[in-house]
Amino acid sequence: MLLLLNFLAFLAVTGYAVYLFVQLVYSRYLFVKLGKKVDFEPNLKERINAVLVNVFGQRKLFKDKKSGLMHLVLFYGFFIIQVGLVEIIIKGFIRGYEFPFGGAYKYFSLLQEWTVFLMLCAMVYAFYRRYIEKLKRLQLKRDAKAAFVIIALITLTIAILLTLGFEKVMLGQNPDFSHAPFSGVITAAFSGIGKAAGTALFYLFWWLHLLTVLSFMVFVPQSKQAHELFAMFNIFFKKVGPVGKLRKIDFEDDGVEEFGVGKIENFTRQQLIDLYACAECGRCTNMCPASVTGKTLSPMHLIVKMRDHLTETGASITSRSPWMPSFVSGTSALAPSLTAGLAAQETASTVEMPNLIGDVITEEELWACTTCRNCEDQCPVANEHVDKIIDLRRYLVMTEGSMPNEATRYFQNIERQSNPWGINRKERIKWREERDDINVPTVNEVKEFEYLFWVGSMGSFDKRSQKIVQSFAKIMNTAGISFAILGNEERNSGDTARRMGNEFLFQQLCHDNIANFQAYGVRKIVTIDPHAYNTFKHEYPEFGLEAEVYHHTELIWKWIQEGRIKPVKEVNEAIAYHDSCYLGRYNNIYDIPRQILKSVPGVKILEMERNKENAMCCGAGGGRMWIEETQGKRINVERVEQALDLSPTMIGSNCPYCLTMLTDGTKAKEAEDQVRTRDIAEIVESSLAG
Amino acid sequence: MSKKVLVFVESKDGKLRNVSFEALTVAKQLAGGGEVIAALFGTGATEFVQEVSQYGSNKVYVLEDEVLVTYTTDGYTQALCQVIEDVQAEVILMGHTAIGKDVAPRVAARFGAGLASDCIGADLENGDIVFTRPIYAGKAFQKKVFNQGKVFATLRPNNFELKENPVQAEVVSFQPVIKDLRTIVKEIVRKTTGGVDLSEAKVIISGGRGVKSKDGFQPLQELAEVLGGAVGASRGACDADFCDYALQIGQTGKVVTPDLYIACGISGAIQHLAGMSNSKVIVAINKDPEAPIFQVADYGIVGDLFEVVPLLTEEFKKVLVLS
Repeated sequence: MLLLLNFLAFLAVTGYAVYLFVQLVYSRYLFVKLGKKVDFEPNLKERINAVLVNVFGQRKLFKDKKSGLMHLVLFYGFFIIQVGLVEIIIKGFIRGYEFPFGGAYKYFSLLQEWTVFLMLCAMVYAFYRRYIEKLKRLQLKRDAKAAFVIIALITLTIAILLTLGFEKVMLGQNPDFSHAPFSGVITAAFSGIGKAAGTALFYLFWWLHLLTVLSFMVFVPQSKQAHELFAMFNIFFKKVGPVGKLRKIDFEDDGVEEFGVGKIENFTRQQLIDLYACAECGRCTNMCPASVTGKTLSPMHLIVKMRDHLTETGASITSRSPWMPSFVSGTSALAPSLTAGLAAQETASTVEMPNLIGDVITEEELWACTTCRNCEDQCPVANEHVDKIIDLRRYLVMTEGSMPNEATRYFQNIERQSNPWGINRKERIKWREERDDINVPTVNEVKEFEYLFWVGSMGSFDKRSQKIVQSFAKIMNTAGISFAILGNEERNSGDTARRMGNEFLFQQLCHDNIANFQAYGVRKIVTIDPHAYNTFKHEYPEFGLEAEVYHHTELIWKWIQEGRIKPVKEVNEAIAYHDSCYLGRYNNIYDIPRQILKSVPGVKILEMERNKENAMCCGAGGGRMWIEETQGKRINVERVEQALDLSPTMIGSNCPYCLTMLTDGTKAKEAEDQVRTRDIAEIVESSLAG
Repeated sequence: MSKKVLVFVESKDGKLRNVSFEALTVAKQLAGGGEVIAALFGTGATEFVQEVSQYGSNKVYVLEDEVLVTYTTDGYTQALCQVIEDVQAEVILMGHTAIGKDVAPRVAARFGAGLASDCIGADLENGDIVFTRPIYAGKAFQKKVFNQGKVFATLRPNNFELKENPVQAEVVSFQPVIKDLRTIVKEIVRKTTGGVDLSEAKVIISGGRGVKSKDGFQPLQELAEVLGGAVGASRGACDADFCDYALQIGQTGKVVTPDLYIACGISGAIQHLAGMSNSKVIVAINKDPEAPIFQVADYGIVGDLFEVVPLLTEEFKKVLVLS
């Protein structure tokens, strides 16, 4: 009779919990479906590979080795204990039930015991990291939900061991330390209490175990633990192709009335999965140059705020309650804000939804991003923060026309003179006249050329950057390379305009540039600007560019290897090498510049603490170069301080924007006399004979 | 063909703006013998009547109203519209200033008329008024003629020669009816920049990191005072906290086009050049003969600004006393 009651109670509770779980997940599925549908590019191999590496391989998590190990235990432990969970539930109805694994059962038992124990250790460590070690990134968002996860999982693991331990007491069996080493301890400790007490305690912990599992299940979709459900899909469905490549806007489509994203449901579905996949681990914000220097932007909060906004908006549109059960959500911390107590669903339609831009995310946050992709590189669930920020900027710039004054000036100058400063476009070619030991022909002055040398606006007009292009021209002369420049026909590459959200201006420039390339039969392009390099290589092909694209470091290294140029003169410098974002994280080129520096006699490379894929941005990307930085500390100063910690004699870089920022940083630190800033091309040139 | 020309006269910090005198001069010329009427807004406007009549306005409308003491879009629009109707003005001129830019298009729209904004020339040709305005950032000029309705124009400051033409002006006290104001200015909080407004200054003495400290701006200040100019700064000087960001000239600061720009201790990074390279005459003072500023300068002085600037101040003092 009791057993029957027990079974009915089990069915009722489990049935209710499963019902809530399905409702909650289905609601969120519908919310994601509010997003725009995009064509799914199959690329199954790439997608499956991403899932294998980042879900089952947990690769990104191991960027923080300690947390990575902890998570690995929990991740695989989760799957393993599911099997044990089923067995334990059956044990509640059939006395002493064991899976019919025969002789292998003892190993199954051993595996379960150790898994549960390791998970318990992992959770205790999680507690330690969050509340005692107070790991910085875990303090970014402190709420009861995070504590609930830890309490629930510690309760669960302990309850499993107690249930198993008291089961043996109930059955009057002796502890089997060799196959149940942990629950065995409990059996041994309580063997004297008798079978009746053992039975009572068995059922007590059996129920505790069951209720913890079920409440956690209902809790998961309503919290950051939703990543357990969404992360895998997010990684599978994420945009394929070059990282950081932006979505093209079709301006020919007459039906489009607004550009960019001004409402949460104007993001694509794939972008919206990101929001529920976020685990609030804070790795992004921890590395974000804007957050680190005290700007209001925090990539994690950006995602979390948009997630909660999506949940609220979704609840309002679909009239579904995202918080359940309602008797809990009304009083607990489960429901963040607006939809608390949405049991009465009509409230949703009467409440005015906040604006995505302005109320949820401020314009200030959006303009603070340098598009360095450090957040995306860190994210274990493959979230893309940058393309969302740019979609929102697109809305501000192209639909609302709201942007900082400096941005307006920048766009106007590009439109009129095709350079950021508004200098007469006829002066673009002047840089080549400043050194008479270089030979730089235009495409009109030679019959044939192998490489088109894209000088770029910085290289053409900025006095400091001119030195880089002059050095590179000299290197090409020395290597006997046939090349030509577009001269005054060169225009701006449009990268910055694109990243500032002015897709229209970008596409204009892109079409003009491609037409120019085609007119002169360009097949290979080389540039000293990683931004132009990235957009030519990964974004222009979508608009019709067919050319090989090189960054100058790639070719310099090739020519050194071919023996075309030989760095022979000693350059006795200790160089702190700064990786630019667009060569590094966007294009994964870390070793080539270092190889070049190694080949220069006398150079000693100093590695900054944040190097390669963790390298901190100089602060100039995404249009930040052209907008005054007034909030918090200057990013370039922070980066230069990191370099100065190594006591270098020189800071090396591969990008004219970085170089400007780093030079300004050394000036701000009044170190410009001791620490010079140089591009790799300049360093190599100074090492050439003659 | 004589015309009735109304000039909206603007005052700032208790002084009439220079551009208003320019507008009056232009008005006199365009009126072709017709009436030139000046409109003065705010309490205490009466004291400017004398000054205004120096530039040939026959009639001065004085609007001594509390509401018009500080500028509000609503208030000024209503008042100006009423003056225009009362005067039956055919041509309305004002400076292309922050206020002019705001109020002129509104008022013109209320009369269903067009507006020639930011004009650098205004001439009578065969009885038509032809306005010249720069387009494409000054790369080309556009001439505009109105073929109907009232003529509204704003004039770019510092572009018209002043011509005094003292007359006896008739003062008309006018009481506008201003209602339904949507904004009321309670308080004006301003940064202390002192001296002449950067964007209007004909002479700018600008300092960079080379001035080394807050006190280092002192010699520049003195030179500016002697020349009646303003003091500006490069981003570097602002970053180093030698001066306020309000003085910043460059890509991300103010863009200026004075007649004379003296850059002291500024290396001349392109970001700075973008804000000043259209100045008429550029003088650079820098210790480093390689500094890029010398490439855009008309005159370059290689030397320590703390020696050179005081010398210049002394010399200018002498010259100016003589003349």
